[in-house]
Amino acid sequence: MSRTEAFDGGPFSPFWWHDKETLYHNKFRVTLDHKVNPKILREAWDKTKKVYPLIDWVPDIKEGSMIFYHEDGKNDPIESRVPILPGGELTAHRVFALTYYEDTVTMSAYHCIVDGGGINAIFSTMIYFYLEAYTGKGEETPPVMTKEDRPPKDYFIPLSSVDRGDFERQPLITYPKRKGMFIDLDMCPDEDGEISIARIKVPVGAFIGACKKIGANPSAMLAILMAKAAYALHPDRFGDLAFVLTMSTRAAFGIEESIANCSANLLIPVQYQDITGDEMSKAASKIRSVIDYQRRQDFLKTLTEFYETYDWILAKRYAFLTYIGKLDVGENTKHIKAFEMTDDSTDSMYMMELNGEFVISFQFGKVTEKYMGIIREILLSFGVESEVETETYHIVKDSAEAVC
Amino acid sequence: MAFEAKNAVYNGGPFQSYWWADEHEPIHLAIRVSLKDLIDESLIKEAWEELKRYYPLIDCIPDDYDEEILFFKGEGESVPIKTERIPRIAGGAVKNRGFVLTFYENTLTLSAYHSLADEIGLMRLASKLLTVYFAKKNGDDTDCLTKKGIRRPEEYFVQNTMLNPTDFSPQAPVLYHDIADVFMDSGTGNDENGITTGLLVFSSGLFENICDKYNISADEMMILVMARAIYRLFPEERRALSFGVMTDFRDTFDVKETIAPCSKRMPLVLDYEDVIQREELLAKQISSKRSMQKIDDYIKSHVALENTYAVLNIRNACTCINYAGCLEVGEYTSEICGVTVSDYSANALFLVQTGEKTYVSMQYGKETDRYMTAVKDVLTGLGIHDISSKKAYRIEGEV
Repeated sequence: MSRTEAFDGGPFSPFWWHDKETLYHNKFRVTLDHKVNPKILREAWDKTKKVYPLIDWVPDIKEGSMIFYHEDGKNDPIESRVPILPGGELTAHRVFALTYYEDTVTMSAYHCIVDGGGINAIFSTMIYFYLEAYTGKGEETPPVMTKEDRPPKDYFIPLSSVDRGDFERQPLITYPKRKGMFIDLDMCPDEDGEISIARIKVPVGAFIGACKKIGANPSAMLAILMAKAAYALHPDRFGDLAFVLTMSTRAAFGIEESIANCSANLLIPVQYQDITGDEMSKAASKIRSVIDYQRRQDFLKTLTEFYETYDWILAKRYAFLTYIGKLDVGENTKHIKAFEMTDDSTDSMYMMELNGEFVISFQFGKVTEKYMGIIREILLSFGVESEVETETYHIVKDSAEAVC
Repeated sequence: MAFEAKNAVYNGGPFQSYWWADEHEPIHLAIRVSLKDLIDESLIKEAWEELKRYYPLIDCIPDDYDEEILFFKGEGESVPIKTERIPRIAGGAVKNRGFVLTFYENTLTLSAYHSLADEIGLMRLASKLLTVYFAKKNGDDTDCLTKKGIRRPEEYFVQNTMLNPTDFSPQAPVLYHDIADVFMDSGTGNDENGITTGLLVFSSGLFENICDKYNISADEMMILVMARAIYRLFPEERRALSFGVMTDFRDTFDVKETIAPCSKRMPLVLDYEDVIQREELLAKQISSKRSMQKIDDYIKSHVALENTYAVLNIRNACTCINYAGCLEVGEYTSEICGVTVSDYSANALFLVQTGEKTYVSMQYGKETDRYMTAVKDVLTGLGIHDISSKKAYRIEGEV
């Protein structure tokens, strides 16, 4: 097989080993208001590859670096009820897979190449092209990247390669007290190894209104909801909690066009008395200030250096929280009826905005249902009515074969 | 987990990543002391009994529950084992104890799970044990430990995960600017079944004189020596060197008596240009970098970080400088003829002082002899003569 080097992506990410193993790759899926047109989808995918040529290359590890190669073969969209495993035969070893079935389109990708923000960017471009061709209507200024033939270094910019220049190192955020901290040990795959997910949706206006009332932003609100849920489900525990807020550093570092791993793990320590008192505004302001502190550029640069200096695993982190932002491809967004993002975690809550609603995913392993229930109650106590968008179900493992 | 958590004798607090390593590594932290005379079997047993009465936890069984270390009363009792090859720590042959004493001819070895003792803690146990042993051997029991009474575990087992730093101004950590700029010798790793270690021995007096001359501490002096040695081994190398320097937290938190892990390696980076300066300037630079890491605010900030991360290990260190402290046996120092400290790390040296001699154990895999020669040359250049060395040898995995 012919293989020529296309691009040196720099130091390889340890996610590589995980990507090779897991059957639950990061996936974006939308449900459209019509049956997918395969011909239009293939053309949209080909056009997307011109915007992001890297998605059509084959990555490999060479002397500690991630090298991308041109290789024979093609990874056309595949019709399959079960999403196709990226990196395998069917995708010609490309690590992006595009699967469609009836009215759904799913993109799965290796995490060592893209983070949630990166897959969102590529997916948005692809679905924009698709809907533009499908409806015959595009945007004068598309809200997604459509520029073709850019050199890969313009859009493959991992956090570790950002030029930090001179800056003032900042103290890191730490737990006030490790002893007594707790996690929910039932947040794990079930006895058969299955991972669960469920989703609710709430009107953006109602959610933001509740945030404003206590002075929270959406990320801080996710932490408040989760903390209240944790103490409500563990009435005998009064120890501290910690959440990880995964946040894109693209804006802070001016690398908005990067699809590579650019996320930072911000820490939100929470204490019992913060969250169980009557004055939620105090809790909200405390959480906001700890998030705001970590969003500053000097802090994020410090955190990047911390990742380079240490191998680390957080102690007793209760859950990962991610406010992904908005899925918006302009006027045609209305043809997208539903959205989901999944991975292999059993301790994550994601929130994404689509057509005026926040879709909140709960991926909490065996206790997914329980958390969805209690968080709906807590939302209600803030005056926010929610609707179950998707009942609890098992995430399907990626398949090496098309299933129809 | 064989025990019910509620039956624990003592909760040793949230465990550190050492615990996971302890459960899997083929060897553990060990201090090996060679004596002038053959070891008296009954006296070493008596001395061990006395040490156990002073530190009862060393005869308990450690186990983990919800990421904490619990101690349980075990069946039977821990006794010194006569053997050349160390039995598996916390294994069946040692009745699942986390601290094990073995001896053979004139050598005794005190080994422990690293999650239960750091170098300084284990050295304290070895010092006390040998002091009692020599006292008994010389018919002198005026200083036996039990006269000081039985102590509560919190008096001698406080690991840094149990400390809550308060009243401090958080400091920014020392970090690499860019890991790609930091040199690492990939040829010094360990193999799966054991480690290679070598030993350098020289006069404590001479070494202290040199430290005094440049006004730096013994462990800082070893940073200087290793930095010079590494560029000597790699004369073409221009990347910076990173050291993991063992930093003791005991004084800052006033837990001086603890044997539990209460120290950690902190990064210290030296550029090539730093290292080729005159000794005076290099020494000054090293001690000024270290002095920042020794202030209470910095140590408290670091301990807070240790408590936040279950795993927090420097990714790239050309050498870990482990200051294991002093083997203090008072008037019996002359009875000691060798001290080796080892664990499963690669690129590591352990510095031990006694009144007369300074011992440097070096672990650099198959490159150990080359590293020892380079260090010896640098030390000689600094005016330390009469360095004796024990050629690199393998410590086989525990059985």
